[in-house]
Amino acid sequence: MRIMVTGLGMVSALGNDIAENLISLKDKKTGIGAIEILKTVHKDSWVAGEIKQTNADLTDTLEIDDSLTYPRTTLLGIHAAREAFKNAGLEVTDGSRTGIVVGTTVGGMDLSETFYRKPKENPSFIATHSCGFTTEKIADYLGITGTMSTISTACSSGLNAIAYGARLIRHGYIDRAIVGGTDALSLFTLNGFKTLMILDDQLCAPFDKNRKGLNLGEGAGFLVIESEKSLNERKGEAICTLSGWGNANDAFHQTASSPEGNGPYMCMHKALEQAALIPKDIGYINVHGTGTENNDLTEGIALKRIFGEDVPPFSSTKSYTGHTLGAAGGVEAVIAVLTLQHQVCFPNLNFARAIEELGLLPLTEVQENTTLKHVMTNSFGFGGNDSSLIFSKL
Amino acid sequence: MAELISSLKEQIIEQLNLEDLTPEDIDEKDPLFGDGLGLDSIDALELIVLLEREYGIKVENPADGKKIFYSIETMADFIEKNRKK
Amino acid sequence: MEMIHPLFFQNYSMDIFINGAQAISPQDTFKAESFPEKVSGYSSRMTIIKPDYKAYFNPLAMRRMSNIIKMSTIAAFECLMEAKAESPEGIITATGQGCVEDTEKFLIKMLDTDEGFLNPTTFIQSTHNSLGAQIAYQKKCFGPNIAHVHKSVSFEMALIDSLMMLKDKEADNILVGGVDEITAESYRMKSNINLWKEETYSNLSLIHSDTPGTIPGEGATYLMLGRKKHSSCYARITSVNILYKPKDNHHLKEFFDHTIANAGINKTDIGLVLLGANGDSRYDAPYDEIQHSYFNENTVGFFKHLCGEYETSVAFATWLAAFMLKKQEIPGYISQEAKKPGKINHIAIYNQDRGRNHSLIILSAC
Repeated sequence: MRIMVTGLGMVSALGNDIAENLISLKDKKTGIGAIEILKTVHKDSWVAGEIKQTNADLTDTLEIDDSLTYPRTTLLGIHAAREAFKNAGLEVTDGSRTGIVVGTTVGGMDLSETFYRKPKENPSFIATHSCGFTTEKIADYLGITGTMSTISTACSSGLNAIAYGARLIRHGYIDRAIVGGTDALSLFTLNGFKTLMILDDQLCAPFDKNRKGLNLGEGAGFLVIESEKSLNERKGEAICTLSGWGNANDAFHQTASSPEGNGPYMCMHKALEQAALIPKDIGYINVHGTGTENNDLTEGIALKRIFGEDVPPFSSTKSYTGHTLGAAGGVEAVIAVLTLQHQVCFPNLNFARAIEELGLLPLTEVQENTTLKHVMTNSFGFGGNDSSLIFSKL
Repeated sequence: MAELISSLKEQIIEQLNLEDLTPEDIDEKDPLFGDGLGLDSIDALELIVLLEREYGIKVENPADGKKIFYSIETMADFIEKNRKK
Repeated sequence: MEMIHPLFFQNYSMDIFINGAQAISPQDTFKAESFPEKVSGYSSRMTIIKPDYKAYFNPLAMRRMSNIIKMSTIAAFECLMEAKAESPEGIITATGQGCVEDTEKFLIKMLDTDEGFLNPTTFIQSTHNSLGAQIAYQKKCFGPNIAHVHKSVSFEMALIDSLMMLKDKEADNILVGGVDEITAESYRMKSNINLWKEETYSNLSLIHSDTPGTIPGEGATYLMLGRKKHSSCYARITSVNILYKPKDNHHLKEFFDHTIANAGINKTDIGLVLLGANGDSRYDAPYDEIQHSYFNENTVGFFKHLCGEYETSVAFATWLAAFMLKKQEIPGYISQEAKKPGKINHIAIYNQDRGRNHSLIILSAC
């Protein structure tokens, strides 16, 4: 059964919707810069891909009317999911055949860290803290009542959520699903990554010899996926298909990939196998490319193991959005689909020199009028959780 | 120096949550990583936090940790030379 | 009326076997050869009976393992041993709240020190997928590894994920687990929204209580699911389904009919229905309703007085059901109703969270 991609929605430091994000991507305009909204003592020490809207702004835009205060991750999620729904031309008459799967790591942490010491002032956070809260609220907002779940596997959450949604459709639980990821910036994650000493205080340079680390980002990216049968029944239109996915565990270290890039290798291999494709078929890869020493080297090694000397054109769009953690899989899947839809590859910003051990050169300019048939996107997370997805032209 | 080594052992046991170890169990010349005590890269990050918090020393590059944290003795030497607290 | 929900297993000719099952809980259930004779009593929080951690891990390994990681890893290890598997081919975990202790530690220290000197270890360990990652790391399992964190149906989602992977032959066996912890700090914080009974209230009086609030619990339950039956087999999983915000009682009834039909049985074939009532008089009425209407001809039992209320407690109920099917025994502290003589062939587990997430799981004898 083919899984059709029929709608996209995205909010990131690049823009509030697909159109705005596309303009920034084409104009090589990064969204990473000074931290202005998150109230951190470290705001002058780090840069991030921050969305320049407060929670109040987002709540107003979405016209949320609930006794609970919604955390930022939820607000961003509703924002992007709403666009994807509309983009797919969906009107929910029977929500029970529409599902939702959300990847997230932060959950309601931004509210929790604000009110933890003063719970009587606003106890909402106690109910909104858990990851599943976001999923339910997106579902309620859109009238979805079908099978739903929340997946939290660190940086691969978004891709795993998309794959789970696809499986639910294939197994007949639902006919269509909103799938993707959402995560907001928070003091917890900023300080957490700071302790790991893998942040770059300047703009990150994925796959560059002198890369110093990652920049955090925030955002939400969602796709609508449907069974071909259900799409035909409602006479809808598809953008492309989700043709393959793979998840594997590196089982090497909690925060670093094995030197041979085993986990990344295995998940890309699985995705290719499932899509019944050979490496040569992949026209472009949106790599995980965080800009850390470990990831880019090991991902590069894995790419060479799969593609040999013919590694396809690739880039890390984290140089635009920052690393949006649980949202990364969703955000980058959306960008991968846009690549296929518009036949344009977006570059890997801030790249100067190749990693010596690899000699791999990512794209450094926007490439238009491509003739891509299949694109791949990777997300590798803490705990060795590695995933890869493939989208294909109709 | 002996006093520094003694408190360093206690601080390391606490920072790394080495519950069952006492300062007497750790020889200051023994390697802390790999085949010695068996610590790893995450422990190295914890020791970097310890250095800054207790001694005001900021290690900018985690790769420097290999030399500094070779043993309690090398750590104590480094602290003596660089401490701000 | 048209079927609203899909038929899971409609085209499946495949049985899924539970070849290993271990539960670390507030009761004496871990590595149990038989049911505990009586229910251990608790008040305020139901915490696990801790296994001997040192028998499993050396002190160095334990340095960065919080309680939840320890109980999760040990339950998983024992389950694997029971199923005679060195390493599973896939690991799917479920947790409602994740690694609470490490999250609290990092958060509180961050707030207290105004984003000062923080520990990388607690940050890394606070991630929800640490549970599955730790098992994969220890057992060198390179297969699929997913963590479902969807409130009170986290475990059901993990179960459905496992069944789909087994059906797709992505793996021949999957280790699936449901784990949650309750810390003193988390208990204190949640008191702010009136979730709990008074601190002195006993779990022994939890079911059919007429006062508001429940008693929180914790536990780590792992099942080894496979497409082939092993000699260690406890039971089969024959139907799993969830329903979000049913429109009305009719909708709920259809959900039950449908899920039971999926198992290829009739309602009257179910030997025991385990209900997830948690003693909160504000929210338990629907269980009374169901007990006296839809399941009025079935023997009914309860489980949350044994494990406490937590989002993956259905995992514990699944272990209980599997154990009852294996032992062909229903302890009096689970059900006090007169039992029909003969073999127990099927057990159903029904849970719901304030009318939002309903789930029904059916297990059948091997």
